[in-house]
Formats: sequence, structure tokens, C-alpha cells
Amino acid sequence: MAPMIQAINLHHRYPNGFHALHGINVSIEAGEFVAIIGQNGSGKTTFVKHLNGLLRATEGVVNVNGTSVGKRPVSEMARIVGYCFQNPDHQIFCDTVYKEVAYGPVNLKLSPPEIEARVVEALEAVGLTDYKNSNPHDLSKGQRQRVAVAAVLSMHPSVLCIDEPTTGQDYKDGVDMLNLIDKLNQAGHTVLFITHDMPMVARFAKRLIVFREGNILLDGTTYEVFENVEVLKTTFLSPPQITHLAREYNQFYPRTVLSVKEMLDQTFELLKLKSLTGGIQ
Amino acid sequence: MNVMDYTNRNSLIHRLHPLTKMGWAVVILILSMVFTDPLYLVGVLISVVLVGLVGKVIKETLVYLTAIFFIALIVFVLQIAFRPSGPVLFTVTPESWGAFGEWFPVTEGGLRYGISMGLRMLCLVSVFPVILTTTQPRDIVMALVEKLHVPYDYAFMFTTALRFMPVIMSEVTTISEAQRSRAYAVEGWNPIRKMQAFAPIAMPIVFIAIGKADRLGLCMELRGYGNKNRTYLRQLHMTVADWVAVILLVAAVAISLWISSLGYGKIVL
Repeated sequence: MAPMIQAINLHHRYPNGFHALHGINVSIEAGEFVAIIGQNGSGKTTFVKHLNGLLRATEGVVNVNGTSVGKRPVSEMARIVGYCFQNPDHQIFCDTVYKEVAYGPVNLKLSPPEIEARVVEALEAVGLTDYKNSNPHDLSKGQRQRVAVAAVLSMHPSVLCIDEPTTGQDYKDGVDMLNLIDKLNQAGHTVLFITHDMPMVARFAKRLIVFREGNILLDGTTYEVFENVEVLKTTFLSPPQITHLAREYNQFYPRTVLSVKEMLDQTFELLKLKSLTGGIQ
Repeated sequence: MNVMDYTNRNSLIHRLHPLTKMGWAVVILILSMVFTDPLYLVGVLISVVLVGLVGKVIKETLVYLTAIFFIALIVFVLQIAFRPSGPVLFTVTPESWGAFGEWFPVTEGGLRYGISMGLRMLCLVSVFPVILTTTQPRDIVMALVEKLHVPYDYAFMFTTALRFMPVIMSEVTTISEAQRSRAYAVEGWNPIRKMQAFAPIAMPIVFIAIGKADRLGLCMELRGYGNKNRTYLRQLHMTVADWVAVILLVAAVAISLWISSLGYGKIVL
């Protein structure tokens, strides 16, 4: 089966001449949970905007669900690839949360009962059912971000692209947001999210794609990528502190550690081993 | 890239005092009012383009003039329609159309005035790209406030409005991308449908613009805006080149008034 997303030798050059992508080759299977990281201006957003046709390849191809994006209109691609922008205020324009979430399905010209069902379902998924008659501008930033996600979710896209879902939010809102995204991933959506938040990446993403200056620097499971501390340093990225701590004691922790729990697990394994072999040598 | 943005190049025109350049704009205004003969107006227009050439902003000036040319064309057509004089050259609808025949007569005077008014408008607006691309907005404000004693609030409002436009335009781009990602598309020709289709773009931009203006006001107050005695980091001075330019400009006005008093440079019917 064809991968859900496939970019072959993807180049992008902006009208002002800036060469933002230098031949990206990447393949993402259906159901993956991918974090895209890298410095500002490294090409993360430029890459993701190719998936629903907001930007067109200068050279190379992008295939989504086995067919080329080519020149298909964004409004058609929106059925397959949902794109949630960083700032929810760039898209909220209705006076109730319900109308806001219904806007996408209305554009897809679905039947009224179908629209209603999808809005109810999307609001349920983001936990805003009680707010369906509220004015979105009265909600908190975290809640507005959820409205934005619901507005994309109600269009039933196979792929969800979310640009910096935790930026500008407190820790609790950030974790809630990623728990929601995790849940959507488990429900079958292919998820790509752009972020600068390494602890969140370590905690949630299964795969990491690291961009640097329009190229893919590293691509692999979260464990594989965070092992390459020196390479990550070249683009000013660093794994979570717990990973660094475990690396300092790598004679005890041979496997990459991403969370406190993993470190504890390895510690217990180590202690068990020691007690079997008769204490510390 | 906006054609009316400041270009950071090094040229004689860039180094001139903003007031000299404003004076030049006034002189061009006078010259294009004094003359009505298309030949003389073409001369004035060429002089402006030459200044653009010396200022290394010839490309920006020409791009702008091409865009404005269509408005000049409208002026041209309006003059023909509303200022007929002299012999009728031809009519837009031929005589053979019966009841609709011989409508919209084009007169010789109308044609001449059309050409002259279109050119006059081009002359008047052609100075703007040259001045705005060779002068930093903050220098224009300083010249207005310090030398011409325009209240600082108004001068600031003027430059902020100029500065806000590109910011708002980039927000509009982001908003339209966000809405297109939700299958937003303007379809068909129905004007009411089209008006409604602007709500998803217009509403967020209004909210964002108000929010931005609010924060801007706050930041200005935090940095001491409204304090009585303003001082300036940069001082502008008139140079030798400025005085030479001023003398040339005064001479240009004097000579043109003299020529015109002798009866040259006018349309004669």
C-alpha cells in the first residue's frame, strides 16, 4: 500500500527567491505520530503547507494517500489533510463555537444532519460540548486552540497537521492539547505536529523529523533521533534533561531514556541484576 | 516587495534633505499646473523619471507609473466625455445605428484636454514613488515635525498607517491560508455571495488589527509617548547639494512662469 504522505525530491523556492526546501525525501505511513522540529526558517512550515496545496512544489512531487497533490485546489485537499494554524485567531470568525466548527463541513456541502453529527462528534472529541453556544472570543487561548482543532476535525481529514499546538500555553493546557492529539492519533488519524517543545516531543511523538536549512537532518524514531546529541546541537536542539542525565551515566543506562519513568525502569532492572549477581562489584 | 517601500541604496537623491524632495514635489505640481500642452507635460514627466534614474529607483518608478497609467486613461476618457470643444472628429457609435447612432462625439478639444489632463495626473503622482523609495519614513516625519511644525501626533499617525499596511497584508495572507485549509473558496459571480464570502477573512483581520493597535498604543506609552519635550537622535542638515537643488528648483519655476507668460506651453484652440 502506498504511504499516506510521500515527498520525492521536493524543492520549494519562494517568489522572493528564497530557496526554502532543498530536495526533501520523506515517507509517512498511515497512523504515524510525527513531530517536526528545527529552528525557525528551517522549512518545517513550508514543508507541511505542501501537503494540502497551500504551497506548490517548485520541483519534485508530493503524494497524499497515493495520489499527487499537483494542482488540486486546497478546498479539495482539505478533505484529506486538515491543517490547524498556530494562532487560532487567524481562523475564528463566527459568533458561536458551534457555527465555527460547522464552517468546514458546510463548505464541503454536506447534508444538514451530517453536519450536525460531525460538529457534535468534533466538539465531543476536544471536550468543548458544553461550550457549543459560547462566543469563541470569550474562551481561553487553550480552549480557542481546541475550537480550531475541532473546526479541522469536523471535516474528517485522514491527516492532521498541527502547527505549534503548545506555543503560548501553560504546561497543563499544553499537556491537555497533546493528550487530545494522541487520542486522535489512536483513533486513526495520521498526525504531524510542528513544535519547539522538546519535553512534549519526548513524551508524545513516536517519530521525529528534524529540519535544518531546508534539508532533513535526522529522521527516525524519537529514541533514534535523541541519541544523536551532537548532530542535534548543530541546529541548537537538545533532548530533554532526563536524557542528558542518563547519558552522563551511560555505563548504567545503555538505552536512550526519554522520561523519568523510563529511567526508573532501567534503574530497577539494574538493581535486580545487581542483587542477582550479589551486590555492587 | 512593495513598490512604495524605502530602498536602501546610496544615491544623490537618497542623501538629499526630505524638505528639498518635498519642495521638488511642489515644483512639479506648479509646473504641471502652469502647462497644458502635452509636449511640455511630457517634458515634466521625463524630468521626474530622470530624477528616479539618478536616485537608482527607476524600476520602482516605472512599475508604479504603469499601474497608474490605467487611472490616467480613465481621466483621459472622462475629459473627452465631459469637456467637448472644437470640431467633432468622430462619434463612438456610427450613424448607421439609427436611434443609437452618433452618440458620444469625440471632439478635437476634448481629445487634447484628455491627453493633457491624463499627463498632468501622471506628472503629479509620479513624484510619490521617487520620494517614498528614496526617503525613510522617519526622516519624512522628522522634517514635517521639526521644520514644518506639524504636530507630532499627526505625523506619527501618518507613518504608522504606512507601516501598518504591509503588516496587515501579511496577516490577511495567513488568514486566507487558514480559511482555505477549511475548504473556503470564493466561487461563482454572485456579488452577494462574494460579499458574504469575505466574512471569514474580514472578521479575523478586524479582531487582529484592533488587538495590534491596542498593544501598539500600550507599548508607545510605556516608552514615554506624549512626553512634552521631544529630543531627536538624528538631526538632519541641509547640505551644499540641497542648496544647489533649491536654486535649480526656484529657477525652474521662474523660467516656466516666464515661458508661460510669453504664451508658450498652452493648448490653443
